Amino acid sequence: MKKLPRLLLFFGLVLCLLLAGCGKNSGGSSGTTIRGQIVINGQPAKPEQVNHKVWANDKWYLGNVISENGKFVHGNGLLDHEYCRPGSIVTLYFEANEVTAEM
Amino acid sequence: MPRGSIVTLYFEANEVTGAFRETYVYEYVVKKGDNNLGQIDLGLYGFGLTSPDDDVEIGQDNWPLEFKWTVYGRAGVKPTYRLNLNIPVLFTFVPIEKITEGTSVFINGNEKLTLLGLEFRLNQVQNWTVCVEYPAGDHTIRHYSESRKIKLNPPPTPEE
Repeated sequence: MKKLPRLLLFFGLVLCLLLAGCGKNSGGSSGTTIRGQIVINGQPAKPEQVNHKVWANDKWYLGNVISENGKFVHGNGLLDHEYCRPGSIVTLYFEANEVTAEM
Repeated sequence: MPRGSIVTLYFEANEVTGAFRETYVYEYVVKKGDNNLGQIDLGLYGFGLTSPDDDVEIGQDNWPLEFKWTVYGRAGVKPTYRLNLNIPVLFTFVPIEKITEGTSVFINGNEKLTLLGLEFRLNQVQNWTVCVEYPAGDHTIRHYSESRKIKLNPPPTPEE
């Protein structure tokens, strides 16, 4: 019979966490996104042409890539919630790669 | 080359043609909801460094010294240019900076930078770059040119 109060306590705790919205930032689901498209002389850039990273909170956020049509979006990445929120000051960095073409 | 030879032609592009090596959306303040920055164009649009040449030493007879570049000719954009004379400090570079809307700027030889109580002078400069800066909607774009090595020997200042 002692198990019942513990079980109620456990479910109560789970319910409380859900209602409080715990973990709502862990996946960057705050609803704020930063997006755009990288072009080179008017033409959409390819992923291999451009490196991309973000400077915010006095550190670099690496591992960002642009898509095949040059588009990028922040807001759903693992650590995006740390800077992708209203009032944050971010610097987006884009580096044109060295490109080797072989035939 | 004898007829019937089988050849492989190899082409190498050292850089993405006609693009700035480094571009920043500089210190953007994130707003609530969808922050659509639109298109960010890395193209040079005619911009390039002109003089001094790469890897030169400037003697004491060449002052004031003019730094020159070509115009960033993208339609509808009137940029500000930032000449950065870069000095190595610890593991990074800090610039003595001159800002202009033109395509050249003169330095007299007495320019200096004070940082954390320390004074840095032109003879400590190792390279120079030009930053092309302009507003684009609610954000600021900064493109950085390639850097050119330089050794400056400015004339002695009166207190020296």
